[in-house]
This record gives sequence, C-alpha cells and structure tokens, in this order.
Amino acid sequence: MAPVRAASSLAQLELPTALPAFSDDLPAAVLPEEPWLDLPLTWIGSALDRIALRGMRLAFASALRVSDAEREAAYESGAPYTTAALVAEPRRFFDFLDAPARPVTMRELHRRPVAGGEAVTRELATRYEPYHCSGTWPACVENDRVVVEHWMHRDTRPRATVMALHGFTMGTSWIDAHVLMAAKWFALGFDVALVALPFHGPRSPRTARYSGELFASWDVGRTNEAVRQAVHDVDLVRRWIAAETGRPVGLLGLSLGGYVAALMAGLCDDLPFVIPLVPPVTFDALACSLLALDGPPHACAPPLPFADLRAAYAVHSPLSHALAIPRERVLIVGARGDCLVPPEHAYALWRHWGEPPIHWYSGSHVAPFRRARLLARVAAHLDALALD
Amino acid sequence: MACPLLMIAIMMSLPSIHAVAVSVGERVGAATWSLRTSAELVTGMSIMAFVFTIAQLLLFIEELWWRL
Repeated sequence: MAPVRAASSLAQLELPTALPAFSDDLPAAVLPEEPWLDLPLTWIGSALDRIALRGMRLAFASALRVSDAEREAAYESGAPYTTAALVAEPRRFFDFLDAPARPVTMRELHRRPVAGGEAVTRELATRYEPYHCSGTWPACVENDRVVVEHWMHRDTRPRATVMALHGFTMGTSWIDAHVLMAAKWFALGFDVALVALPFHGPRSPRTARYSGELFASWDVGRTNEAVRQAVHDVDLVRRWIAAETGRPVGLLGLSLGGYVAALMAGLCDDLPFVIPLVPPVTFDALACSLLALDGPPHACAPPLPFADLRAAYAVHSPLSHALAIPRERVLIVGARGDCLVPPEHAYALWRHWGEPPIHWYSGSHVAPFRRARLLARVAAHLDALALD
Repeated sequence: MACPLLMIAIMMSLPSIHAVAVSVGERVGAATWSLRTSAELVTGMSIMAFVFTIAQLLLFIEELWWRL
C-alpha cells in the first residue's frame, strides 16, 4: 500500500482545526494508507481524544499554571541532569542496572481466582535512591513498595510473562487489566504482571488529588527521578519474576508505560520482547498537546522553553539510547488519530530503532478501534519469537 | 445502559456546576484558589471519565459489529 502522511487520511473527513504542532522537530509521520472503511473510526477516535484533552486541560489547569518561583526552580532542578557527562553517556543515569541484584523483600497481599489460574497481588520493597538528592523528592511511604498484580497459570507452564505498564493517571489494577487486555494475553498462555508505576494507584500519597500527581510536574528534577525510579522498579520486578518462574519476562506498555518500555529497550539487552503502545518519545508530549489547546501565544506557557525542557528530559528519552535488543523483538504500536501523543512520536521511535515491526491501528489514544486486529498482530509477533 | 445516561446527565450539568463553584469561590476570597482548583479538577476528571466510558461503549459495539 502506498504510504501517506498521517494527516492526509484524516483531512478527507474534515476534522476540526488541527492542533498546533509542538512536535515540529520530530519527523512527519508517514503511515500506510488506511482502508476507507476504517476512516470513520479514526475520525471518531480523534474527536474523543480532543474532548479528553479538553478535560485534561481543565483537570490539570492548576498543575499547568506556573508561578515565578516554580519557573526559577525548574531551571535549578534540571541542572544536575544536563551535565556534560550525562549528555555524553546518558546510560550513566541508570547505573543501578549494572549493579548486582540485591535481595528483594516480597509480601503477598491478596489472591483471587481467574479463569485458568489466579491473580496474586504482591508488594515488593523498593530501595530506590535518587540520582540527585534534592529537597523536592517527596518522602512517601506508599511509594516505597511496588505493587504488582500477578496473573499466574495454575496448571501449565507460562510461555513467558508480559509485564504490563499502565499510562499516566492510571494504576488501578482492574482498570489497567481491562485497558491493557490482560485477560487476552493470559488466555494466550502468558502470565501477566500489572505493575503500579511510581506515585500511581496504590503508590500515590494520601494527599494526592489524582493518580500520578507527583510523577509528572514542572519540577524537572522530580519528574526525572520518577522516570528513573520507574525503570528501577520495573527492572526489580522483572528480575524477581524471572527468578521465580524461570521464564522470559517482556514488556508491554501503554502511553507513559510505553515510554518506560521503550526506554528500557535501550537499556537492557536481555529483554525477550518489548511492545510500546502509543509511546511518546519526549516526556513533554502531553504537556505540549495540552498547552497547544490555548493556541499560540500560550495563555499558560511552560516554565522553560520546550527546547530547554527537552534537554532536561533528554537523559531518559528513548531517542537518547540506541536499541539494545535485536529489532525483531520489538513491535511498536501507533494510533493513526492520536491527539494526545501524535503519531510523530511512534514514527520517530520507529526511525530511531532502524524501522522494526510497527502496527498502526485505526482510532486514537483513548479509543483503540480494531482491537481484534491489534491483538492478532501482537500474538503473531510473539509467536514468531518462539518463546516457548 | 443506565451508566452512560447518568454520565451524560452529569456531563450536561457540569459546566453550570463549575461556573457556580468558581463564582462562589471568587466571592469567598481566601478559599477561591482551592475551590476553583477543585472545581476544575472534578470537572476535568468527569469529562475524562465520560470520554473513557463512551470510548469503551463504542469499542464494545464495534467488537459486536465485527462478530456479526
């Protein structure tokens, strides 16, 4: 099929005025042509994304407002992450990955039956130590443990374990299980581990007004540390599960989870598979989309120019790290009509990784239509890896 | 079916609730900021929940459609 630019198929349906693109420095996405029958699905999905964006703009209005003090602090907090040493070798930021594994304290919280096995909720103590200790890193007991809902086969050996990483503001296991299609992977013979990312779901402090409030903010230092802790904790859990089950443990992440999964594909060379779904490649992707709603010039500008923000976040951008695993183990999934994380992000990752397998679905960030096709594509990809 | 209908009803009244909350907040001075922030948060989160519900409903219908 002839490739077309991302916007061309949508333009035929006269979408509302396009959002100003703040991802101009990413290459324009060139997508395979979409079957005409699926065009309305992408249009509907995009419309839903735009309404969701409006909701987010309102919900995060106070978080997006920047005081002069926050502006000053943003500059200061970002400085330790833009040193020449880190710019030259960003992997140094994740030096804990090269350290020998430490003993893990695990506690079982809950156990319930699922078809063909059981879901065990566990918490693993995390001993995360910030890269740069600043006063803004919150002391939070809830965040000192990693909560995992582990779907385990009872009578059969799992083909592998799919570690499913949720998106920003998610982290409630039953919702994550539904959105990340845990039951489908489980039915295909995989164990599934639903991991709560730092400051999300059960790891949110009691004072948080929403899941993930402390994860992403204009405090660049805290955000960078939160991403670093996400990598630390995901690595902790995957090592623990691999040791317990003796089976491969791969990653499947959605949105923010896709960002973490894509980042880990550049850091760990022993991952059997990595499947980032609608992954951003710059951490300011959502903020860009939200602020774009105000139109230029922004009523609410970021504390730093976007170029500076990207420089401060670069240490953990998947684009700063070369793919550490063979390309065949990767499957990128992008949404044609995504307005939260525009298709340019998945496309940039695809180019950066040397054009590994990629799947574009009809729909958007919040409305992934044609899920059966997506499921079949991922299942075929995993089959081809011969994990059994 | 009741859930989406309830959500729609809530959605339709949200802008008014938000406007009233902000207006009241501005009158009471010291509480303005937190009240306004809370109103924005609740409204925004409700919109997101609404969109998510509709999306899930559409996905369900779509799945049924392709199965038929």
